[in-house]
Amino acid sequence: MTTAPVDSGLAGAPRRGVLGRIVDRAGGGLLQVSLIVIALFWLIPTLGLLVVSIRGETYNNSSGWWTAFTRPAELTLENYQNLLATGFTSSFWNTVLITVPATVLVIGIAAMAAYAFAWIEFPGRDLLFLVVIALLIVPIQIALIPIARLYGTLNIAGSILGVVLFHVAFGLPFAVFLLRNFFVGIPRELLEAARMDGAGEWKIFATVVFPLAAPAVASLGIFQFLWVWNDLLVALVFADTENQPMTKALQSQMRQFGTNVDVLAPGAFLSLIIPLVLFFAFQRYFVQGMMAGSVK
Amino acid sequence: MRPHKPLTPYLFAAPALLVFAFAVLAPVLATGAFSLTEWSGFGPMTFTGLGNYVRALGDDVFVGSFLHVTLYIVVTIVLEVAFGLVLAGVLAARRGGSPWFRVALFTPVMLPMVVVAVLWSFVYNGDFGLVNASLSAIGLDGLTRVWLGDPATALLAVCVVSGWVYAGFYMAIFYAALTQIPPEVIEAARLDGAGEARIFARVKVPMIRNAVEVCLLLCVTGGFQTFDLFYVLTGGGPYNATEIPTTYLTRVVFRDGEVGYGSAMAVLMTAVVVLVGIVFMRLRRGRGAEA
Repeated sequence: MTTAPVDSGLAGAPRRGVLGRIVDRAGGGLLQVSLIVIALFWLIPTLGLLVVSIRGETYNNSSGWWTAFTRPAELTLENYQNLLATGFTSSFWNTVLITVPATVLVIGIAAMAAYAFAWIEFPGRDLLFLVVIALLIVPIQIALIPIARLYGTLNIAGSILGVVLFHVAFGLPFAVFLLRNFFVGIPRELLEAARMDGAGEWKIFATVVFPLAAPAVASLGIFQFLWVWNDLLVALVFADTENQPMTKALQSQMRQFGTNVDVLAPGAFLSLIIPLVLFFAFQRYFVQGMMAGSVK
Repeated sequence: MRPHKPLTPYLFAAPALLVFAFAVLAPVLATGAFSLTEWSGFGPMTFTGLGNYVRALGDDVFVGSFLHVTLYIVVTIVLEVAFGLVLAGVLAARRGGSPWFRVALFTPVMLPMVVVAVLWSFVYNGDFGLVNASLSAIGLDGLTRVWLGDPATALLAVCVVSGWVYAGFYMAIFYAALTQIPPEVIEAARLDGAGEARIFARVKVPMIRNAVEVCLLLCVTGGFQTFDLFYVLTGGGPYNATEIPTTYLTRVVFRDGEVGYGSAMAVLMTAVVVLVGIVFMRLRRGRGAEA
């Protein structure tokens, strides 16, 4: 009885000898086992972090986290309480204040540019688009120094605004590229019909193209959100201590690793909660976004 | 179709182009100019011509950093792209497999590198890390070491972490591409008596060649730009064993205050990345024309 689902799964396969079937089963079993081993290998470090984050400081400094499974008395929520007492929450809000505007601005600006590149003919269009594509592979390191100088002159050095602007600038090439690819696929008749009705470019953009592109916009939004949320380099260069996001706060804790793992582990866990929730909520957009951005 | 107002298209593109011009184009030009000077970021600038470039090419650490990043890219092509492709193939042949498996593999893609570094420091830790504990448990005490602190193993240890992070990313792309292949094509190959492995290598992979090539390009150009991973795991150490252009450049500019020299490195690095990109596109187009 227990093997019934397996048999029905194989019903469509061509008939083979008994020996062939045994080999197939054994091979399938081996594959199954190796997939489970791979999945465990991928999950164990994350699991370890969770355990360390709820394990007393003295234990973490004296033995491996897995010993906690046999000694649950070592577990405590103290680390999280200590973390909140260190002012880590302010870096959490800094991360939010950086990530949300950087995501919204990129979507808005890129969608407008992508619409022009996809559906309006104007002189120099193809050349401009080529420049955008070329910028996709320009490493951000080349802009760090002049921008840091520029921010000094503009008096926004170290501020959240500076970090946001930098993320917007370097998020745009990919965003324009992805959205333009999606916009091009919208049936021409829909736009023509709107034009016949006397709609101008702004109205077509706002009422026809943008709503139709909702899946692409959503996937772009998730990508941009993750990039900014997880960024360390831009924060290191442009955010001062008062405005630092979680990644930079954790990094400065890390330099003294070993003495304060009890702050590091719960902080790390808190910073990955939001991306994880986002992933589970929008799983299917990830795949769609990657298809649109890299396969087309 | 002509727009009603000739200015409208430029208005649409204007915000994006303005940001590009100010935040990308102008800084790129400025960096080019800085690279010809000796300058600490403050005070007077001394024009030195190509002096910084000559210095960079003779700088063992800088040249070594390109060797390290090249090695890193070669290893990660195997650990990320090839491994991701095989996993995607297995999943596609099993109608997607368990969604839990895909979630497990994709989770690291979303983690901040700082968190990844914390996770793996528990794995690599010399005193109570998982690797050393496992080695001791099976009687291989002689092989235990401080994995990230030993120049012989540090680079490879970083590559393994990178593979752990990105294999799921490439797997997701390849899996999405594989599911787009019309089932009739695969059915035909199966009727010809081809086994699953053969169908994968001879039918499916050639059909998603486009995705494979884009992923290779991503892996190579992205590899050159990797920063967080090395910075938080090793900071370029021990003894520059894991120094890559981005970490070295950041150190030279922001710790040593050598803006001119760092700018020259940034220009050289950008030139290499753009060159690799162009060669790649040429190769692709060349073969596309043949086919």
